[in-house]
Amino acid sequence: MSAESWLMDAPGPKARRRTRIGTGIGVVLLLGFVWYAYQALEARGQLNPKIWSVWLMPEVQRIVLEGLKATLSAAGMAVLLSVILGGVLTAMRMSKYRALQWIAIGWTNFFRGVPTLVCIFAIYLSFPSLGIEISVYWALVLGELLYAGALFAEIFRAGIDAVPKGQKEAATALGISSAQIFIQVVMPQAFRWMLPLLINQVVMTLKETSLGFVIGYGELLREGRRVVEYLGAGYATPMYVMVGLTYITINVLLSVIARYVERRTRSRGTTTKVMKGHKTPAEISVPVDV
Amino acid sequence: MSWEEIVGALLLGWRMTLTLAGIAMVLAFLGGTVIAILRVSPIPIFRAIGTTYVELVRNTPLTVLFFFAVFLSPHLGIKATFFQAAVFALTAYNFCQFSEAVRSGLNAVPKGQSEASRALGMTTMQMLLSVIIPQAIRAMIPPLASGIVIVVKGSSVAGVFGVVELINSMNNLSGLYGEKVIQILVVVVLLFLAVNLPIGFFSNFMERRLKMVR
Repeated sequence: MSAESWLMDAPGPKARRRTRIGTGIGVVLLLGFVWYAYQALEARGQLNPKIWSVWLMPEVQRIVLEGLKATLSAAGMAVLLSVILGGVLTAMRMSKYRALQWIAIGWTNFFRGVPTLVCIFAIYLSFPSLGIEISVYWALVLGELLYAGALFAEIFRAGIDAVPKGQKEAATALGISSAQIFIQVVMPQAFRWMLPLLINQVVMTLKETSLGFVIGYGELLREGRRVVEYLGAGYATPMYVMVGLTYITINVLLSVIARYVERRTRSRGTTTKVMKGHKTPAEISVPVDV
Repeated sequence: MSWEEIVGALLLGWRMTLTLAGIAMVLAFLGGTVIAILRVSPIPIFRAIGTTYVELVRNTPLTVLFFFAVFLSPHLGIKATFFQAAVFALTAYNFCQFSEAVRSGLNAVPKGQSEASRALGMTTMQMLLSVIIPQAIRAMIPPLASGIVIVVKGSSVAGVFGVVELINSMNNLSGLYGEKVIQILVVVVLLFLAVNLPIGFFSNFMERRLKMVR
């Protein structure tokens, strides 16, 4: 990856020398940090192979896998439902009835201001007092989808807006009906544009399922903690590192899959160039907050 | 406890939430700027360090970071209070958000500005200070505002890890006064909205002004 082009000119001899010195300093600092971390961990017995062997224990692996399945199941359901909700909210936003528009806008602003944890607790604590029984799974999923639905709606809206108006105008001039325009002209282009943002949101939702451990849902983090509680606090480091690495791996995998799909679905020929008037996702600030 | 006392307890928790969020926000912004500098640096190894950090932390949930901060710090010999651990986790997590904000702000400045500065013979430092950064600030505001909202919302996780803030108070009070659960929840939601909605509106306002300039 190269540095941003606005910052540097082509490097001359002085710049090259500075770069080399900087690289030397950077390497020294990095190695120093690694050395220091190694010393600190070693001194406290954190690098003892006995505790790290817990990664190989079949029971531990089974429990962690159960937790992973629970996480993926909750995340999958949350993503599915929030995509649907996002679609509904986008439709409301684009409808000609002011009331529906306002509801959609109000929903988005409201749930972006409230932490997801509060939503989850709100559902989990209030439903019983309203007489509705709710499982931790559904409290988690519903809590997540209130906010995620709003985010997906924002992404959909930005994606649809990003398609150059000329496309719709040309399609109308060709006599294609409104519905057909939407399905065959707008959506494919919007989808390709939106894909990185959509995957980003899926990753966010996946990370948020870890909040489930607070209300007792047996997801990945909670199962990791159960193992630590059962085996003893000495095993905390390897277990939580395992949990962290699992999350990182899954999320990075999702991003890699997304990039692969994006490359495969990109059409060949001149349309791979960004069309005139077509903004890239980076230029439109769709808020991608957690 | 009377209703006034309940609200009073919630407000005390709220003050803690804001304190936690405020500290984390400032530190995250400073650290995020450092990481942004690393990521745009001409020295490849600095870029690698910055990008690695961002990629690792972006893909980890905040709760996992809290676990690291709270449960692993004794193993590393670091004695920290719950509050300090919470600040650490919240800050480390939001480095990414703020570094992206700074970076996208810098990138939003038209390339012609830097080219013109170089043509005028400015050094990189002069160019940055006098030309790029002032223009970048306006573009940075929406993602920065977004980052602030994330920090405030993230502070709610701290309530689960021993920090007596709003969520913590909310849970305890709901446990004690089950019949008032809905009212308590309403108060909590209103408190969060009171902070986050104005930030959101301000951000939208600045975004529209930015679009007009272009």
